Amino acid sequence: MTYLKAAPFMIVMAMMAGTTTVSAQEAPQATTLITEQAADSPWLKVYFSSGSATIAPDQAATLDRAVRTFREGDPFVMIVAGSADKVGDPSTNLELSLRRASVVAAALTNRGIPIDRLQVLGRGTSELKVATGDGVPEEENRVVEISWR
Amino acid sequence: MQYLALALTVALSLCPAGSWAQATGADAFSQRDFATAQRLWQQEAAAGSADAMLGLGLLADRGYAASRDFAVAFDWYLQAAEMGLAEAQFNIAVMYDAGLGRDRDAVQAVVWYTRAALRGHPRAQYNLGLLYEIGDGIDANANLAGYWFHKAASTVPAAAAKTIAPDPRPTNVAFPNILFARVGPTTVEIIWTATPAMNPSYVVEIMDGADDEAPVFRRATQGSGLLLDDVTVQTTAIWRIVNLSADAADYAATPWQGFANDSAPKGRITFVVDDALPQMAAAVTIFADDLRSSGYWVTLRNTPLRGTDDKPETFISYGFAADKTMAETVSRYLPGSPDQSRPAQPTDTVQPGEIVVNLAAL
Repeated sequence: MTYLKAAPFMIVMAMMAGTTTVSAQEAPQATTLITEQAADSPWLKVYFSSGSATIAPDQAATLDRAVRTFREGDPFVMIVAGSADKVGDPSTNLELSLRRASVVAAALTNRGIPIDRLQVLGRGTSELKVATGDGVPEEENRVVEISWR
Repeated sequence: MQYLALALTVALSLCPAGSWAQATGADAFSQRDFATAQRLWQQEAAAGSADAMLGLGLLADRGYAASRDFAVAFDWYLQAAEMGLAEAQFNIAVMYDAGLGRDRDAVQAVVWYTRAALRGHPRAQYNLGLLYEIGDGIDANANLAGYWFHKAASTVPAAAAKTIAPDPRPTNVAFPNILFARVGPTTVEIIWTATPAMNPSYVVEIMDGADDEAPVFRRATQGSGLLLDDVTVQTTAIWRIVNLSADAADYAATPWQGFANDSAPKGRITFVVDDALPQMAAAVTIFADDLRSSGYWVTLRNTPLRGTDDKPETFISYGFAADKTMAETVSRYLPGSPDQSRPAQPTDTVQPGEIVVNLAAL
């Protein structure tokens, strides 16, 4: 719990296969940086069942939709951020959110997105869409959001 | 040691840090010096570099060098795409597909995904497969989805994992809907789409010229596009797309296309005459001229096909049911008994739109 307050989210960079990493420090220094937010589009949110880090068949369409907006060009970074609702132990939820983000990242690379374009984040329960008390199941919080910059 | 240090200092002062690596826009871009990248890429683009145009599109697309501008990005991508750069064609497709800076246009997305896909762009092939799989803004077509997923399968695992059941009704023939075409002088690029009921077997026929001496070449595919970049085609070439039936006994073809399509033939007729029969050869010459003036392309060969008993036979061959009417029409012109000149459909050699008339002594 203390750890979570100190480090609200965990960044794992190109964690799969340990290839080229992309770090936040390498992000473009543009003054007009715009991020295509997942919140703007239901196609860019992958929902999960409670306690699960498995992509349901009906969520695969979301992933297909996401790759249909990802253009070619070197520094495009796709951010894959997982979260969990507040059912269960916080440290377990942090780990669960990261696993969710990782399976989504793997599904994206399976669809042809280069692995070195991906930033994979587990936010645990630190930046929830819907604020709830502990132990409250909330679908909107069991998501992986895909965004760009 | 001091001399060495001095020499090193002088050398370094003559070579400002980073300048060696910014000879090109791509170098500057890789160092995230976007202003320099923009300046250099503009020079390179003015000299005709498609890669530089793609880079300028990227700068505008992401707002790296100035404020983000989809319209400017699209214009640069389009210039690179028109030069044949698959990555730029793919980006144009995505902007149409996702409706970025413009209304979504699924048909244009199909065109540009296909242009990139024909150049071997795996993600374009996959995205095109997705569009055909779900029919998002276009007619779903399982056969075309499967074709493009198969093309992408070696590099896109999700494409390899797709198990698309072939459409159970691909028995019809109809002419494909042409979406894009650029024919000649050194490239042939044609893109079409088809309904699910059409048998997935297409032949692009190109006649390199507008008369009956024109060489004809054909390319077959089960997909929805053709790219030939190793050809020389005259501006007078005419072409069409043929959809073959599953049993290869029938077809449907688009009208002939091309600037000279008003001189396209009603059909092509080959007369095979035994030159040991000079009277017959003379008659056929007159008959051929008559047919030409009626809009047919006619060629003459002087080696008759022989029957099983090695006696000259008279027969009319057509390859496809769609050409039976033409064969019957010609049959009525021929002298001799109807039995002798009854059209027959062989299983090979005769092309769509063609009949072969073998004439023996009558």
